[in-house]
Amino acid sequence: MTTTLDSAPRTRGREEPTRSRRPRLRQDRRRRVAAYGFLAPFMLLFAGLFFFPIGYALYTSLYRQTFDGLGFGGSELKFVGLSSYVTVFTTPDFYNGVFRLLEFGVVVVPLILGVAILLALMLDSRLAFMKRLFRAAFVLPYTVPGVIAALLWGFLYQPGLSPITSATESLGLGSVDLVGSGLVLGSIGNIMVWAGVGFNMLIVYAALQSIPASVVEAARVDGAGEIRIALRIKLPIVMPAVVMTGLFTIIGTLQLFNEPVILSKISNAISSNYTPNMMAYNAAYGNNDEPLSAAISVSLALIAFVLSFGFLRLTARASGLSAPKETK
Amino acid sequence: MSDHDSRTFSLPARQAAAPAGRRRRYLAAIALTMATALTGAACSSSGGSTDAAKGPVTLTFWVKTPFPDSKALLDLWEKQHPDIKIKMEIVSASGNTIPQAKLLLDVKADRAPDIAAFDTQYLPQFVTTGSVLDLKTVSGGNASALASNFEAWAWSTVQVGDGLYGLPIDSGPLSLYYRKDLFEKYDLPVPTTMDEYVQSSIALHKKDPSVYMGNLPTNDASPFNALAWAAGSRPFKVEGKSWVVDIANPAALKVADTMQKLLDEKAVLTLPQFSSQWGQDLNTGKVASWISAAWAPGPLESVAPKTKGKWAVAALPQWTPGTAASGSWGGSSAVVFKSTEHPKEALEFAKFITTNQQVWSNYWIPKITIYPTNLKAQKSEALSKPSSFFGGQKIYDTIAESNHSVARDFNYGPVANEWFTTQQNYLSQAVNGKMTLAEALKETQKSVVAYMRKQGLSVQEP
Repeated sequence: MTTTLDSAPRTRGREEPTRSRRPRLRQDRRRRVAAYGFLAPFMLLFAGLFFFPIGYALYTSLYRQTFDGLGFGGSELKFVGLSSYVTVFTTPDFYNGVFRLLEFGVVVVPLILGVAILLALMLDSRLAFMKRLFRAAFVLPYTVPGVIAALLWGFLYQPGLSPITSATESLGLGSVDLVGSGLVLGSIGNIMVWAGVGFNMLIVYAALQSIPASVVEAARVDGAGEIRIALRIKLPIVMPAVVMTGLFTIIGTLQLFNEPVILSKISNAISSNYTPNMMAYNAAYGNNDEPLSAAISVSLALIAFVLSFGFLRLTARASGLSAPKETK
Repeated sequence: MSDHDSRTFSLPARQAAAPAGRRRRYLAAIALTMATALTGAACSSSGGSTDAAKGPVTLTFWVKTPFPDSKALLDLWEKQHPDIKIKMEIVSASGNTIPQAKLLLDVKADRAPDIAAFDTQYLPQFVTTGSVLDLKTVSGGNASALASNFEAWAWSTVQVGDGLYGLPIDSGPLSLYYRKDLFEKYDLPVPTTMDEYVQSSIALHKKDPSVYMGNLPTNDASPFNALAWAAGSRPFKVEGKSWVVDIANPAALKVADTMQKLLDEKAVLTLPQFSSQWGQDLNTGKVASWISAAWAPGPLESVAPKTKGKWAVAALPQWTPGTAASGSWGGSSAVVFKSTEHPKEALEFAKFITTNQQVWSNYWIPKITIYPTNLKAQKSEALSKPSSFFGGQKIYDTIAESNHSVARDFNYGPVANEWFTTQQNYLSQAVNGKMTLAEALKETQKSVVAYMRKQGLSVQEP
């Protein structure tokens, strides 16, 4: 990859002096205008739908809704700079929510990735049978909307209705409260794994498809078994795809909202500030306090940013995103 | 679920929501907001073009859940006021999780309706948006003179500071709804004091570990706070130019300690209010009683149809033996917004839905099963009929007594949503053994005071 990319401009550079300069400039300008013309719709939408909302959230977060005395005179927006961020990061509700997600993510993210990789490698292996059926079956949960998935699992978890609870009871293991304070996080994790594995598997599987057959063939000729080929040949090659799915999963975990909100209807252990997203929601729509909600959202985005880039750095070598020095 | 959702107009709709998902509702709320943006704009332009004094006037009336048969209500109105049309806007078909969200947003976007009806507990919070009209300022409306039409304590809940910010519709005085057959089966006396209630709860659960006396929900602090109200708790008071916040007051702590005994003995359920599990437990006879509000017969009948005829109503068990003190859970009020171009007509409509006797006897009582704050309507014949669900008992006799004994001057304060959600979060920790209920109240106090101070409100602690 790197060699082809490097060599291309060099060849063009060598050709350059042979062309006459002025018509090229004019052509260039015309080309550039055309390029910007084609780019404009994208740039406009990108700016309007991406930068503007973020900018507006940042701007809003610098203000605070303030009242006077009893508060009956209505509120005013007062510029408070970054002080809302101090509030957010020193609120136990916020950092407890973040810690809860980290604790949760440490288990759930590797689990989702691990299972996804395993399934993808199994589907890709020579020994796999009924590939299409299994591939569809693995992806199926991903096609169920998150809210519906949480509702379905909610019925399976609810103590009075749960077949899981009645199974443990009939096995003599006692009644298990899957939405009690001890297990509810695990129950949420289960929904996420169930819904998330298929998508990640698909990405890894797609990457596996692009491995040239000759590479695998060569390994086989050299005497490598299926497991060895999977771990030593295939996995390193699809590592960029794995890193990308890891990134998606980390960000998805930080944005946890649907599952706990829905399970909170049947659980006494999920509070309104269970995750930072829920906290931002309550601030905006319960307390009518958009500035604080914006500050919570931006803070969460910052944490996601830090974690994502930390993860990318950590996995840079494995994913091939930073070229190893010795090839240069 | 949606059945009793639509039947109960007051507070329960907030919790009655089936686990359909906040996200979806939130999206629905956004969609609705956008829809009203369009219709609202169209409406205000047509409203602006017509002269306020002449021609037909259109008022928008905001309600949070669909009123069944609302046409009957509007027909009654239009018969009397053919020149004033009412456009009813329903915010959420399923009962929003945070029911006031849309209205708060509409107020912020300067497209508040002319009139709205919502839970009285959020009234002071709405007043802090600066958008609610002080009805005393409506010229010729003579709103202050309406006081004598309403139950005095309910009248005090719509007065915030010096202003009169709404007219009370219904109230939720507490009573003890109990399974007569189960009480007989387990040989339990009907408790008259809370001490007896605790003893009965523990005794009942010992006799049959699958049956509980009651439920302590953590997704709604209302029942706890209504019990505290009955015990004498006054968490928010206005003193001069500042709020006196006293959530962990001695009366509330007494409630906390009492309920803690039940938690320690594991003699109380801790299911989310209006969850399907809770409904199922009621329907299958796992719950022997419910300390609840005047609107409770409606939802009770719809979640526990199998128990028809087995229920009875008794007075709320008292905190101080020999007294009669009650609190209110839920209840709603009609509010007029400052932005209205027709304050006089809006007040007229608010008066109509709160004091018109036909509205009460033909609509509110039979169709929505709510209990009036209007004194004359309390004597309505519709309230003196025996109830077959309660084995032929004239339940409203008991409910009326409870209503008269609700203490005055309970103020929900300017940050009701923050107070309730904070308390719910700590209640959740308490029922899961991470702190005691008393600690939960103290933490709530700390957190709410800090929140209010950060918002610039003037706060005193006792």
